[in-house]
Amino acid sequence: MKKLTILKTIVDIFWIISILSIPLILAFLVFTIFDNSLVGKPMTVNGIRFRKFNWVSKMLLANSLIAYLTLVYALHLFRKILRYFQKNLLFDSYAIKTLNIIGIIFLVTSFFDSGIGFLYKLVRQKSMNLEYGLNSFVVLCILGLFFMILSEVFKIAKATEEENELTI
Amino acid sequence: MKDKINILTIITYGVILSSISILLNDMREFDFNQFTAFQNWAKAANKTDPWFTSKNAIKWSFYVISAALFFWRGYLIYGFSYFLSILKEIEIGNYFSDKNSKSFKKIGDIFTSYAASVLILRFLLASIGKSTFNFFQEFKTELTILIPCGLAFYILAELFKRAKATEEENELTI
Repeated sequence: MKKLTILKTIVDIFWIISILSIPLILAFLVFTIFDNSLVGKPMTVNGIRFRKFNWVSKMLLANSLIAYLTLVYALHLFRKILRYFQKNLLFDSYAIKTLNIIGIIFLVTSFFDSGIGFLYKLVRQKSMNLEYGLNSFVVLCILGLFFMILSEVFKIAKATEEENELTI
Repeated sequence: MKDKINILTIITYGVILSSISILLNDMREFDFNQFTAFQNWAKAANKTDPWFTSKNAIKWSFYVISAALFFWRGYLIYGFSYFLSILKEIEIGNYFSDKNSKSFKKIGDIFTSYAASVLILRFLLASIGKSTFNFFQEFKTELTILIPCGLAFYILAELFKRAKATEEENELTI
């Protein structure tokens, strides 16, 4: 499948770009948690404006960075699945299990990342920001559920394939 | 699995309805602003100037390209309705039906054609001086998700076709 090769190439490019940014992100994460030189400086993280860079904003920043790292891990798992598809192992148990894991990662990340930011704005800043249409929370939820359903459907396909192979 | 399908169906309906309402609102605002701008321009325009001038051409080009952008947004929302038909088929147990393969392929077509067309139209809009065009900004917003998703849907269409072939072969064996 030519389209599979193109998709694998695009995903590999995204993966390489993400991998290069991980050391910087980890260094920044450690710096923000343990260093206080940014205290007092206003900062905007994921659309939330912090007037004081205190432990709450550090927690939110750490939460956003960890969410990003989990998404990079999900991308890594997706690359592995595409490699299985390239080897023609379409309904392999590993691919089925990994699709489910990717779905769970997307769902959990969407709730943690967007949910915590929404609660912070509601409780501390006394403001509510509702976004209609396609935003990152909705996209991640849709992708998460879709991957989980795909995993179930692939399980059925695998069962059919095995049944077919066992018949003489 | 039924629960997940139901939740995903509800979310998809929500996204489609909110996207349609946002699109209609944007079109109404665009139409309103354009009409106001046209009225102001008509009041100040020199009536003796020939109709076919570069200024008129630019105005009409802007209107046509903006209308085309609205059309493509509507087409993208229409693509999401195929998603609903796939979920319905899976819900009733027709996992590897022809309808699902065709729907996946159609969604792939819509996503890739939308990404390519919007990129070209936004470039044209920038070239007539009505907007700015930054390839990396466009890449970040439209192309990052849509093109890989479109390709993934093409691949899913192929996978579901193979699964259907296996299923049919299985059903024909005694």
